[in-house]
Amino acid sequence: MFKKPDIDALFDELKAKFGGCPDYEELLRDAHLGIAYADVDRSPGDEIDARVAALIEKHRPRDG
Amino acid sequence: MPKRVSHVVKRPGRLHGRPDVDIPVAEDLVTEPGIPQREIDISFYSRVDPLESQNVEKAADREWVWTVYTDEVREYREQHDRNNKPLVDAAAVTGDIEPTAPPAGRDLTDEIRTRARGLGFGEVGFTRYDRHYTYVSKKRWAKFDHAICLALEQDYAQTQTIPSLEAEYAHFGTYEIEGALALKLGDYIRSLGYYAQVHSPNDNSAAYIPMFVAAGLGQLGANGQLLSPHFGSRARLMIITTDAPVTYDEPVDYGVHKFCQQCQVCVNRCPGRALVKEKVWYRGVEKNKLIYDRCRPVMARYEGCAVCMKVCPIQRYGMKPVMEHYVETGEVLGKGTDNLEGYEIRDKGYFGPGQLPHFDRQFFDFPHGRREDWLFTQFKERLNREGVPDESELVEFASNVKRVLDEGTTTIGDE
Repeated sequence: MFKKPDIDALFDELKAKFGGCPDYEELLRDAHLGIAYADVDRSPGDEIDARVAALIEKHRPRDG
Repeated sequence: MPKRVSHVVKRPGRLHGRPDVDIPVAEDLVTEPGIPQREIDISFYSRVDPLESQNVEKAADREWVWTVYTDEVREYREQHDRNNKPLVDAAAVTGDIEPTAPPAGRDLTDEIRTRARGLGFGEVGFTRYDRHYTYVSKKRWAKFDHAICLALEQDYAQTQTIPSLEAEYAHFGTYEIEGALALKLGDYIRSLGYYAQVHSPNDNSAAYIPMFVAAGLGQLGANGQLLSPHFGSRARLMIITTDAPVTYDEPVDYGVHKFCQQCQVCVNRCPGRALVKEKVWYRGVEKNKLIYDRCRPVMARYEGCAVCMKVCPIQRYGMKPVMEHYVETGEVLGKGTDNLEGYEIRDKGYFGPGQLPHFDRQFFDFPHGRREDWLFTQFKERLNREGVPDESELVEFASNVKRVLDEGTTTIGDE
């Protein structure tokens, strides 16, 4: 499950990479939903932007 | 455990022009469209104990909050009030403005809804202006039988930083945008040949949530806020009343009434323990009734608080994915996770799931009622404590009461 440090790191990177994009807010929404899905081991499918899905995978806690 | 679907609610997309969304409602969440209520009780309470604006009934604490704001919040609130005043003043007289064209003579529901959506209102609905919920101080002001319910979405990113000054920018900034948009919509309705009274979101004429529920725009959540399909309670509500010919929308059962009893995240995460788990019957409606005295001190001191808004999964993810997840698993998306439930309180730190800040008893002491009520309360306490004061102090007390009465109260204000 994503803990606060994982969440902070993910959103920091999201903002650094895409903060200037016109669709940043949509990416932010996707990130929250994607984390919720990841927390219950649910596949995000095509609901989540691929850029966000990659970040979620990168920051996903590996300790089970 | 997967759930059987009772029905699917189709709603317009979050933004004008986006495709409709389908929201599945699980069988075990079904109650009734709108909210369980007893019309006879609603009618009774509206007659013997009619509602009054918080700005009037709670004037003592509305004055008090300014004394506990941080410097930054106070400065921003003052700036917002200055920016907003022309909009509130303009709305106040809209009911008297004559239509600017002959009556169109047709049902205008679709045209008004399309224009309102085009202006940016995320949810638009039509219902009867229900005078059971009109504030005493507005009974003679409010005109026209039809209510156009308008919800403007508040900035997503800023809202997720609750409680914070940044989130307050979203909160009050949305009112400023909304007030201006509604004046434009009022002009449009007048151009179709009908009256349009703009009820400023900062000078409310009534409790609006029951009308939004009646118009099918959402259902009442356990946090005491309207949970609408796309943004939960992350919206600012207002209405326009009109004599234009319109067709009323119907209330909807989104499953929220029971879902909130399963979810309870807002109840569990409320820093002031102001939200109540069980529903009660209150003024003819079955609801989770917020305890104002536990909420207000936290709101006042911590940038409007609103943790109950932030941690609502429907606010965070939207109703569609939340209800789909419930149907597929029987579970509440995000519940028990840091991402949904965590929040930071200034000078107190981070609180994850299961953790709440502690406030001492004195934290919850604050002035109650109208300003004159509070003067009498303090006077009675002093009589009990110190006995009858000398004549000069009695005169000073009477003078203070008279000053407050002369100053009167205003219905204008927002939180």
